[in-house]
Parts: sequence; structure tokens; C-alpha cells
Amino acid sequence: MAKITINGKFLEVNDGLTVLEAALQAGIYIPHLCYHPDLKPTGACRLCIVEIEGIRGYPPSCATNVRDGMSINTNTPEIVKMRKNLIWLLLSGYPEMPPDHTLLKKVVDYIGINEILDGFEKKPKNLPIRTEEPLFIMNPNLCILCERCVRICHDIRGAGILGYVNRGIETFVTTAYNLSLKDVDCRVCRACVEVCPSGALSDKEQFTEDERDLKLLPCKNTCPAGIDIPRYLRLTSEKRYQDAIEVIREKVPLPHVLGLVCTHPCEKVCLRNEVSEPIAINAIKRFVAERDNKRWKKKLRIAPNTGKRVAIVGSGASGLTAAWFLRILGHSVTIFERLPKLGGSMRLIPDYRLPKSILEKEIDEILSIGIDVKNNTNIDSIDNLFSEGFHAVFVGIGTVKGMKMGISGEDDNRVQDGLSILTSISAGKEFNFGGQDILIVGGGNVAIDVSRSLLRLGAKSVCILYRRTRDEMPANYEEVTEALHEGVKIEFLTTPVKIIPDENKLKVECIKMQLEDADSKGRRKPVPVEGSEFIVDADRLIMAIGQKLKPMDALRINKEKHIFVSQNMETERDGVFAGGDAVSGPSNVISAIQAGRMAAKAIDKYLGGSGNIELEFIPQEKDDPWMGREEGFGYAKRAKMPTIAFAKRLEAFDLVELGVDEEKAIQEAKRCLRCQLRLTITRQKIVIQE
Amino acid sequence: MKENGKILVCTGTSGISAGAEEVIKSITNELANKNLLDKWQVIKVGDRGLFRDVLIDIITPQGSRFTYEYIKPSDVSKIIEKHIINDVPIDKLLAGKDYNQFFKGQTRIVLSNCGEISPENIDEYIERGGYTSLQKALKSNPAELIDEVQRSGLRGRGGAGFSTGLKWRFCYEAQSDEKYVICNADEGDPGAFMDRSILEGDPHAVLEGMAIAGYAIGSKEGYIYCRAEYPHAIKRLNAAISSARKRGFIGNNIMGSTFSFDITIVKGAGAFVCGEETALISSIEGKRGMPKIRPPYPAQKGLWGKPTLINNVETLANIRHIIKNGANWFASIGTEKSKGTKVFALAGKVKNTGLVEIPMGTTIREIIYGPGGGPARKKISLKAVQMGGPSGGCLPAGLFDTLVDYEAISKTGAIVGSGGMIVMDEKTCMVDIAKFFLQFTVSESCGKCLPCRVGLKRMFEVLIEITEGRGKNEHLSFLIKMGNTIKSASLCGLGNTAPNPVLSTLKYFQDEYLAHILEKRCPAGVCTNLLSFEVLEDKCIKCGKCYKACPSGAVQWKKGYHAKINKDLCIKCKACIGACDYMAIK
Ligand SMILES: Cc1cc2nc3c(=O)[nH]c(=O)nc-3n(C[C@H](O)[C@H](O)[C@H](O)COP(=O)(O)O)c2cc1C
Ligand code: SF4
Repeated sequence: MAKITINGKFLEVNDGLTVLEAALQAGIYIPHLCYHPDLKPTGACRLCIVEIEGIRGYPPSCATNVRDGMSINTNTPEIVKMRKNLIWLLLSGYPEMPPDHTLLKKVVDYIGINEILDGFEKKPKNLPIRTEEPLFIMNPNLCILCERCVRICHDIRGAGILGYVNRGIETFVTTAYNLSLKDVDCRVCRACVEVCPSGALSDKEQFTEDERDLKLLPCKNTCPAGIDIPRYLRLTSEKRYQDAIEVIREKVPLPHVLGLVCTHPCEKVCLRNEVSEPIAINAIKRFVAERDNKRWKKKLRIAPNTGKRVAIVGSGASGLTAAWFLRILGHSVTIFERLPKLGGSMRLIPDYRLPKSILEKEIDEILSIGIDVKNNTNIDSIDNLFSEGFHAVFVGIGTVKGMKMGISGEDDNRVQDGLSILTSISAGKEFNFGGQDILIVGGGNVAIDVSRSLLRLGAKSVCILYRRTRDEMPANYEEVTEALHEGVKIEFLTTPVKIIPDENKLKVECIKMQLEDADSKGRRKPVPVEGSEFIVDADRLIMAIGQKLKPMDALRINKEKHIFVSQNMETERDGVFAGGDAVSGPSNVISAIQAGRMAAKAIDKYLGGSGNIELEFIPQEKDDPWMGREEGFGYAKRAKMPTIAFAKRLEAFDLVELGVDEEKAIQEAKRCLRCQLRLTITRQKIVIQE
Repeated sequence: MKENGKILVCTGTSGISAGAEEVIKSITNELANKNLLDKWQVIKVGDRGLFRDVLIDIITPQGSRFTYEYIKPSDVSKIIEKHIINDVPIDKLLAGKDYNQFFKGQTRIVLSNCGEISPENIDEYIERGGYTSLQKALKSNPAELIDEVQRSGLRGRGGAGFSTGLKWRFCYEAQSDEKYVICNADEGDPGAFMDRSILEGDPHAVLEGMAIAGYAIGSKEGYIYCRAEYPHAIKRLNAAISSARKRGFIGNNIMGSTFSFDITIVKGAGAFVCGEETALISSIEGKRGMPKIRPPYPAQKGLWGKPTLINNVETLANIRHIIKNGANWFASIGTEKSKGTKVFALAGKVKNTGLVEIPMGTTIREIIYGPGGGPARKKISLKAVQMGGPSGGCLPAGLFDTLVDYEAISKTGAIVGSGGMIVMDEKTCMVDIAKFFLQFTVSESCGKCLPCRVGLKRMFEVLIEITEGRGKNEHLSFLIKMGNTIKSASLCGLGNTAPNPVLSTLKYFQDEYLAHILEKRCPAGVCTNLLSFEVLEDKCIKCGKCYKACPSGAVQWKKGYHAKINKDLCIKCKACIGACDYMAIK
């Protein structure tokens, strides 16, 4: 410990601190710009100069260590005057005033400016602004040469992308030979932007403090279940596959299923999009799921029995997830399923995308922790469940009724419902569509799944009618691509208006549509083009235009015709919770999983627990901020998913995607921008007291 | 070959650029023609520090010495014919009074070998006592050596004047298995060439000093950081290093001892700031030559993070004399706190310009009127000397009796510095001089710290305003405030001293600034925008010198009449102003 005085205030501080650190810790603010707690001091801005008894001149407090007996003065009139002169100098080459949100502005406001030369006209640098780079803008005219970006890029990230060129007043920060960031293998980690105090480096998309996490780490914060994507990507890149799968399992009990069918909303927001293409997240999740050696089972701790019983109605993704977490929390859980097999709408996904074996394997794992199952059991009355002794009920019954268009001729038995076809296929019912011309109406995943399944079942031709364009199709983009690739035709901007049942064929009268200008929500409504009717012949017409809830006794339905729940998943009936498609309308696996997670929390709380469902298989470890250089990083392309030979595809329902090999998986994981690292940089609080 | 004669030719950078190589060729040709090659030895020596184009010395077999100045190849056959063969010196070509006066006032210790021995011949160095100091040093223990250097009172000649012995002691006391000695030969002050002359004329003296320093602090490796603009110096250093290595003066087990020390030359990147020690170290490490905050000082953490001693060329060249003659001898020269001699590059408006080595404690006046030979033009009086170049300041004529002493000079606002000394007369504009040095520091500022990077530029812009006739009253207070801020707040010595040329001229010659600002007049007749090119009849003595100097026929003059300038023909070249001895053109 060193005994020092700062501005007459006596302090006892740790040896090895700098004067600046000691002062800040004691709540004495010394202005500074180039100093950053994560970086080695450089002493460039000179604002933190102080006077120290017995030391000549004005040492910078950021680079002066405390010594026992030191007497320091941080704001003598000379220093205050000098700082004001320095601020004048700083702004003499700075266009206008610094932006409000910047540290620079706050420091300028704190110190004040000494207008030292009347009538002085500012002399901005007029250097070109770089706006073409991904994710951030480099405006060297605002740069104050604090070297924070250069230092963090070089000393902490080990990338050394930014540096000084020229000298003296002509100095500015740029890349080697002014090349684009991609051409110098920048990792686009944006640590530089994070530490820039002047506004010279700024995110293209500005955000408020509340949006910060979402904008800076969008994948994890967009994933409905909040899977720690950056963490498992890093672990994968380090070949720690078991650790990676366990990170995923901390949040979801169906990782392999997700690796095959997740709609990956994270990819849409992946910031790598702005650099080249997003990370192929499913490929990596599937890769690590395939290598899961179940080590996590040994780590999993089931809480002691609480004596509470929970009934889960419906065994889709939400029900299974709720069951999983509630069981872990020590409740007795029974799943009721009206069908023979569990899985809900996940079972409807054709085998070429999600083999039943994989689905069943993951379901079995969930059940293996001690969950009861009553299949082939239809629950008509929730009251009965309570009287049977259940303390809480979760309703995750999905949307299982196909919708109709309400056009004439729809009652013909050659007009069928997509959902029931998928149900029958999944139940193993034999079908033969040999030589038939099939029309499908719709644009969602059901339409696509039906189309590709029927090709595999011998259909001569399959054509989808969709009333909007490809951009608006709700189906997975890749699925649509594969369908087209396999020979499915899609008539966009087309809708059937009448079905004329003929002896041999259905004559389907269609009309062309056009999109109106976007409404306030940005949606473009399709309207018919008059006189554009035409007739298409088909052996069958399959409706895949949506599905709805089959209501249950006495649960209130909202105006979208879904089960009404409050924010914590509770229905209006005490002890009855609901989630999944039945609440949200047709959605996707990952959203249903999140619904299950939320329900588990709410039910646990309802039953007197803490509602804490967080698992920790892999303790958080410090993320190494050293990224180094990687040649071609910016240009690295998304891993291509290998598929089975095209000729073999339509012969059976074999899984089309083969999965990536180890080398590709690692490469892909390494493409991650590691946005999370930026959030580990110390944020400088501008505590300006006194 | 005692009975033979010697011909010495000065072949430093200035000798060579004046044609020394051609002169040597003529001499050898001529000697060959006359079959005298075996009787007369031609020796290339370093420069002596006086600009006399090609200088040669004839040393007769009897040992008499005759110095010829301004020698051209065409003079050679005459000299050989008359002087060498017939023993009749050619009076007309012999160096004259000024040459002798230039050397009379000097005490040459550091420069004692320069222009006297062949720098490429190690034997000549040894003959004059070379490497005996190293030998002596190796027999004493390092602590004693350091004591000796400290007691001598030697202070760093690179500019800062820090006690050399103390610096050695810090390096000696720093614990590390690796340490380095660096010779700072970056000499970047405009107009300075002391270090270059030493390196070119007496390179072994520097090597010997480094080896002694290495032994004293416990280092095995030395670097000479020499600016790339000194190709001759680098060539001679290379030659000297390899011959010293061959003789075992550097390398492994020096002179049979257990001490090993080797030296590498690193070519500087050419930036002035690379002479600053932390920037220099970065530069050797292959990084951008930018200064770093101190502490840690190089003595604690220098090159590659190891304790490092950095000394200037002249400092190191003093070492062997101190070891040889003892601390007491050295300390007997100079003032109380400034010991030994100092080499200055005397330039400007004096008769003799060149390198002068004088004992500390000599007055400025003694330098100017002794070796300097007084004002270059009798009728134009001297007004100041500028000392220390871009880091220094000026000392007005009224203070010419100030002694050369670190503290005494600093008190005036100038500095002893590394040895730049420019004499100024009434025709030197002090604002212009300040602007010149500031222009230099603006372009040499490394750009790291705010005050130096931006502040100097803003000051320079204001000086341009003043010298171009747009000066305002408040400019003066701006220069003072900004100058003081930059001095106090800058990171390294460059910024800490760069405002000095402005601040010291403002201190002593504020009236000149005011004439520029208030009257839009440049009293010295230098700032073109402020000149009206009119002849002041009350000052004009009708001599016609301006008329003769004018290249464009603008000056009209007839014997017995005042000169007149036709402004339509005038091209503002200022030749007339330069020619006039009476300041009669404004
Ligand atoms: C901008 C700047 C330039 C310098 N240039 C030189 C130089 O060219 N040669 C030199 O010997 N010292 C130079 N110095 C001084 C050195 O930093 C250092 O003080 C010196 O090399 C120490 O040697 P000494 O103690 O023997 O003088 C310079 C200092 C500054 C601030
Ligand atoms: S004072 Fe000048 S040369 Fe020295 S670090 Fe600052 S900007 Fe660079």
C-alpha cells in the first residue's frame, strides 16, 4: 500500500496503480482520452497531466505509478489552463462539435475550451470517409489520434489491421496501403469502434443503450431460446465438440432436431452477412450433435422430488421442453399424447429432412430422465386432470386442423388437406401418387414438404400455386431452393378461384395476382388481376394454406383463434398454462422450445419454485480476445452442405443433407466474427463528480 | 618510411563534395609521372571542419607542414613541380590568416584526430594512442571506471546534458543478463555535422568509447544508429569495425580478456525524432520510430526490453581521453558544472564557418571573434546567435559574454544543445528564423501527442500570417500561450523544446515581431511580402553595389547618384538588399 495525497485528500492505495487509476478509484476525475483501462498507456492526449511534488514538469498520470509519500495535484490553475488550451487544439482540426454520445464530447464539456485565438477558422483534415466497409464507418476527419483503435487491434486482438501513416499533422489511421478491411484480413470484430472516443469509427447502425446487446450480439439475442451461439462456435473451432453440444443443451433438449430443421432466425441477423455470408449454423449444430457422447448425462442433476405433479398435454417441441425442464426441477411429469407416437408436428417433417430415428432418439433421451407418457390418450377435460391429482397443466396441442379456402368444388375428395397427407405419410401409410399431376396451394413449409414428399411417392408433376412472390414465401429459403431443384414447379402470384370436378381431372381455375404497394406494416397485399383467369388440370389439389387450433374445453380463444395466455404463459384457468403453435399459431421448432422453457419457468414458480431453469454444463470461461490474423477471413465463403446424389433423391425418403465433415465444420466455426468479444471490453464510465 | 614526405587530403563529406577525389587522382598521376610515388605518401584524412573546398597538407620529410586551401586538380602539377620537387612553397595557394585564426582559438581533444589521420588505417589511430584506453579500462573494474567517468563531469553531448557517469551507473545497476550500448549517430539538427565529422575522421574513437562503455555496464552488444544520409560515415564505420575486429579490439575476448563486445550498424530511417532515445529504440526494433512515455527509461527497459545505454557520438568520443588522462584532467577544463570541451558547428554571418571545439567556459564572443573571425561583413553588425537549432533559442548580442556552460546558456533561453551555432546579423530576420525552425519541427513531429502535432502547426500558421503581412496583435499572446503549453505538455523532447526558437526570439526581438505586425515591415529585409523595394536616400551612399547585383535590370544607378528601383522590372529576388551594406533598401 502506498500513502499518497491527491488534491490534499489523503489516500491509501495499492502499489502498482498509476496515479490516474488511484485517482479514479478514489472518485477524483482526471480527464483523459487516450487512456483506456484495457490498454497499455501511451500518453498521447496529454489531458491527464498532473503536478507531483518533486517531479519536474507535468507527468501524465496514466503512465506514472504511485509511490509512497507522493503528493499530487490534478487541477492547479496552470493545468486547468493548459487542458483548456489542449482542447482548443484538439478541436481546431475537428469539424464542428463532437457528436453528443462520444466520450470526446463529454470530456470537452468537462474541461471547457480556451478560445485562445480570436477569429480562428477551423482547419479540418478533409480526408475521404470510408463508408464502403462492412458494419462501420471510418471518418478520419473526426480522429483525434488517441491510438486506442490501433492499440486494441494490435495489442489485444493481435490483428494489427489499423496503423498510423504519415507523420506530424498529416498523421492518420488507416489500413496498410489504404486497402479495404477485407483485403487486409480484418476480423471485423469492431473492438476499434468500441474504444473509439471521438466518433471517427462508428457503427453503421446506431443503437440506444437498451438495444446494445441485441445489436452487438444479435445471434444469441435473436435466438428464441437464447442459445449461446458464439460460445459453441468457438468451442467447435477449438475442436471441443462435446463442450459445444453441452453449451447448446444448456438451453434446449432437442439439439439434433434443431441441427436439421431449425429455421435459424439467428442467421438472418448474423453480422457476418455484412461481410460475406452468415454462419451455416445448422450444419455446425448438427455436426456437434452427431458427436454427442452423452457426457452431459453425468452432469445433469435432477432436483429432489417436489411432490408436485404436472400434466403436459401434447408432445410437440413445447410440451417436451416443458416436461424436460420441469422434471429437472423435481416435479413429476406426465405427457398425454392423443397419437401413438410423440413429437407433435415435428413428426410431420418428412424423413428426408428429419429422420424419425433421430427425432425418436432425442425424445427418448428426454423421457429417460423419468417422465411418464400416456399415448393414444385424448384429453377432453382439463378438470379431470386436476381431479386425477395433477397440480398444474401445460397445454401444447399445436394446430392440427387444415384450413380451407372456401371456393367452389373444394368438397371433391380429390381435394385434400396437406397436413393430413403429411400425418399419413409419417404414420407410414402406403400412398401411391404414381403418374399423377399434383397441384398444391400455399407457400409455407407444409406446402414444400408435401411437394417434395409427393415427388418421392411417384407423382408425375408437382406444381405449387402461391399468391405472392418468392420473397414473401414463409417456407425456409433453402427448402424452396431444394424443391425447385428436385423438379417442383412454383407458380408465383397465382391463386385458385374455382375447382371444376371433371371425370378424369380436376379443372382448377386460377387467377394471376399482383402485389399492392406496401401497407404501414410493410406487407404487400396480393390482389387479382382482372381477366387473367386460366385453367390448370390436375389429378389432385392439396390445400396447404395454413392450419388452426382444434379448441379444447373451456380454454378462452383469442381473436386470432389461438389459446389466450397472459405474459407468463398462463391461461385464464388457474394452474393451466399453454404454449407452442396452439398459442402462437403455426410457427417453428425453436419458438416452440422457447415456449416450453417459458412455461416451465412459470409452472415451477406457480408450484412454489424459483423458476430458474438455467443449466450449466460448461462453466463460463474467459474468452481469449487474441484473434490474430487469418488470411482471406473476410472473403471466406459459407460452408456448402453436401447432399446425396441427385438421382437417388426421389427414390426414397433418405436424408438429403449429408452433414459437413470436421474440416469444414471447424472452418465454418472460425468464420464467426466473435461479436461477443466486443462486449467484454471495459466500458468507460464518465463519472464526473466534484 | 620516415624519410618520406606525406600529402594529406581532407576527404570527409565536404572535402569529397568539393572534389577531393579528383585532386587525389591528379596528385597520384602527377607523382607517378615524376616517379615520386615511393617517396611521397598520399593519405586520405577526414575533414578538419573548415570549409575550404579541398584542403591538402604537405608534410616534408623533415617534418615541416604546409597547408594549401581551395585546391583544384589544375593546381596540382604546379604544387608538385614547385613545392615537392623544388621545395618552394606556393605562397598564393597556402592557407591564409583566417585558416590559422580558425584553429588558434580551439582546444581540439575530440577532434584531435580529425583531418590528421587516415580513418581507414587503424595503425594511424593506434600510433596516436588508440585503444590504449580500452586496454587500461579492461584492467580496472567497472565500478571504478564508472566513478572515473562520473568524476570527470562529462555530460551528454546529444543535447540534454545529462551526467554520463550517472547514466552509466543506472545501466550498470540494472539487473539483466543482456544489456545494450547504443551510439546515437542520428544527428538530425539542420546544419549540425559534429558527429558526422567525428565518425568520418576518427571512427575508432567512437568504437573505443563504446567498448569501454560496454565493459563498464556489462553489455556484450552495441549498436550504432547512424542516419542513412551519412553514407561516408557508415562506410568508414564498417571499415573501422572490421579492422578493429581483426585486431581483437572488438569481438570475442577483447585483448585476451574475458570481455566480449561486438558492434552492429543500424541505418536510421531519416526522421529527426528517431534521434530521441525511445523512438530510436523502436526504430531499431523495426517499429515505427515514435517516442514512448518514460518511465521506464532505457536504462531500465530499453532495446528489446533490456537495460540500454544510449550515448551520443561526441560523448563516446570523449571517453578514451578521460580514461587515458584521468577524471581530474578532464574536470580541470571548463566551468564548475560543465567540463571538458564542446564542438560547435559555427555557421551564419561570421567570416569562418565550420567545426570549432572550445573549452567549456569560453564566451560566445570569444568563439565568434576568435575562430569565427568576427562578422562576415564589417558594416553589418551582429545581433544574435542561435544555439541548439530547432530545440534551442537565440542569445542577443548583448549577452555575447555569456559563458558556454549548460546552466548559463539555458538561463538566457538558448541551450548548449548538440552544438548548432548560427550567427545572425542585422540582415537576419528573427521572425523568419523562428519560422524556419518551426517549419522543420512541424514536419518532423512524429504526430503522436496532441500539443506537438497540432500546436506547432497552429503556431507555424500564425508565423506565416505575420511574415506575409496579415499579422494581428493577438498573435503574439497566442504564440506565447501556445508555446508554453506545448513545452509543458508534450510527450518527448522534440515537443518540449520546439517552441523555443519562437519564444526566445519573442523575448529578445519583440520589436521585430511588432514591426511585422503593426507596420507591416520586415526590418531585416527578408520577408518578401513586406518589402517595398524602395531605396532609402538618407541611408544610400550611392555605391552602386545593388545596381551590380540586380539580375533583372530593375536598379537604376549612376555614379554619384542614389540608386532607384524600377518596380515594373523588379522580380523581388532581394539581390540588391543582400548586396547593400547600409540597409538602404526597404
Ligand atoms: C527530437 C530529438 C532528437 C534527438 N536527436 C539526437 C541526435 O540526433 N543525436 C543524439 O546524440 N541525440 C539526440 N537526441 C538526444 C537523445 O534523446 C539522447 O538524449 C542522447 O542520445 C543521449 O546521449 P548523451 O547522453 O550522450 O547526450 C535527440 C533528442 C530529441 C528529443
Ligand atoms: S512531442 Fe512531438 S515528436 Fe514527441 S511524441 Fe509528441 S508528437 Fe511525437
